[in-house]
Amino acid sequence: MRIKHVLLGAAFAAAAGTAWAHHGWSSYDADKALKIETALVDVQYRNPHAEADIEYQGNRWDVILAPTRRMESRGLPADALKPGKTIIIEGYPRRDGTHEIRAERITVDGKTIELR
Amino acid sequence: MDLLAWAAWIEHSALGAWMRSSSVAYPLVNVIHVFGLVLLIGSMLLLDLRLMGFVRRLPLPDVSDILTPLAIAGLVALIASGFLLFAADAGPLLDNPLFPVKLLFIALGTINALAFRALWGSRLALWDQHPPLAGRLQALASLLTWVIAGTLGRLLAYV
Repeated sequence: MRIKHVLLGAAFAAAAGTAWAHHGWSSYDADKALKIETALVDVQYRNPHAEADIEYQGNRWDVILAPTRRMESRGLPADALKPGKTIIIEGYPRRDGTHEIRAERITVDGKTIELR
Repeated sequence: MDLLAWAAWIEHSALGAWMRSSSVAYPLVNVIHVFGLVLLIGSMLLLDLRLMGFVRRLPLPDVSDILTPLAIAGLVALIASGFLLFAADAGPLLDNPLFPVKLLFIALGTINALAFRALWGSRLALWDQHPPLAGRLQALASLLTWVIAGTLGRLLAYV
């Protein structure tokens, strides 16, 4: 019986850990939602997730997008995101003040794509 | 070549570029990494619990013979897939404060396992008659080390 208790305890600990860890979005402040229309300065269309650079309020911001497979399947291939193109980013800034935004959605060529 | 230069080199290699540009490579290698962890932690959890004195009706030499190769296979899969994931993202990983701590725990777990084999490998048949305290503590340390290494690895994406 003892081993059952140990395993049960471990399972609960793991479940609790997972629930906490899966809030990767918690590093970003959802109460400060931003909607920014701007030109893309640079784009890294890559895994584990694509990133874009934009200028916002006099600073260079890193925008975290999504894994490339997800973006492709939702209609946002690499050639849709080119530097110089004007897009609308909706997302949340990092809580610790780093100039980084996690994008909830992006509007490109009049088409809005959910990234989460 | 120092570590930072090597990391920059592997990140800018064709291998690193392929891991980033392919839409399926990164997710698939990530899946292998998870299954490697399942194999390693699953077998080490059972073997370490047996060494600590649980489930004595299963003969320890048999348990060890079955689970040790599975754990080694898991560790090999983890190192191979981990190398590819590192090649994709070396710069950010080296900036991540959890990454060196995770590598330290992997090294501790590996050294602990090798030391255990060297010290007690030939005495498993008589383990239950004279279970050495040091050996059982090593089993507990093994369990904690691998769980901590796996936890740190998972949390890399969240700091």
